[in-house]
Amino acid sequence: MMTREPPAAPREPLGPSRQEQDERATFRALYERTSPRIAAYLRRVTGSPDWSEDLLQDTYVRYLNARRPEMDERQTVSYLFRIATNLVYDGWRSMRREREWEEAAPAESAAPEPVGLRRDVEEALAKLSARERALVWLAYVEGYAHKDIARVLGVKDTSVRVLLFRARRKLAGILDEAGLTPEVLG
Amino acid sequence: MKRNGDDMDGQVRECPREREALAAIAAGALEPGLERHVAQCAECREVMAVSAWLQGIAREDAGAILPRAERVWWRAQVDRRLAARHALAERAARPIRWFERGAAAAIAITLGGLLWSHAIPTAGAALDRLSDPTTFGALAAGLLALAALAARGAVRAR
Repeated sequence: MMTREPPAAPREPLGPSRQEQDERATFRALYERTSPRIAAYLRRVTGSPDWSEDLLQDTYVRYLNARRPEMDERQTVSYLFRIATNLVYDGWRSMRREREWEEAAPAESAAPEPVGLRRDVEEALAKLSARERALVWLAYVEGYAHKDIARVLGVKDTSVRVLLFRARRKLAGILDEAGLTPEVLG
Repeated sequence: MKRNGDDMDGQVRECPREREALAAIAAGALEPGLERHVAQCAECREVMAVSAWLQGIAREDAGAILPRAERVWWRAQVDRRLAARHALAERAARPIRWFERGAAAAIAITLGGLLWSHAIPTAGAALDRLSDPTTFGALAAGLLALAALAARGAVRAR
């Protein structure tokens, strides 16, 4: 007696390919190395923890879906800063608040108020424009050279020198007036 | 040290050793020669003060909880698939758009022909022709079709 072969079981949907797994692992490593820096930058430039978290995700989503050339780590980080900066600017433009890029406006925050010295420094930073905050952050936290800052912010190399000098002097003045000398920091 | 905006003379002042001082601060140590220079150089002192404060809050930010990499990865995959689907829909709709444009052009040519052959010869004759129900009907239908196409285009553009 002939037995009929049981119908083949439906195949399990294929899992991620080897290439996708590798890409995901590479991305995870890159994200873990770089996201704290991009997050801190976004947080300081926007002055808003909630918005900066959304922008952080958008930055990496845009990075992943962009056609990008081969880049080393330094170029990749610079590229991420550029995407983040463009997203901040686009965000303000869509809210019709472009002027906040160049002129200081009170930062909005839904997060708990920081305390002590940190609050003082955050208040000092809030008196700068977003572009000035971006300039001083890239120069004095990230240690970027003028040409790298120019690339991230989309301005001329020569302008960075002047803009950065003015931003630094303004922030130093505000910190000085608030009694925040380096000695306070210890 | 001149710092306040009121004291600014508009001159950009830089010290050639600024970057060296910044690198030393990042490394956590100033060699004695550089330390002496910083003590005497107002520009370097300002750079170091600003840098110290900013790096202080950057260190505090280091402990912030961030979205997980997996979440960002999946959002990127969803965005990519949606974009691919949108592109596919756009490609599929292309022949329909060409057909619509062709239809609009055919209607316009027909209307032009009708106007040329019936309405243009003389104004009086044209008015007579318009009183003819067939000519009036053709003109009205053509105008209505054109208006519908224009309205559709306007809605799409929005």
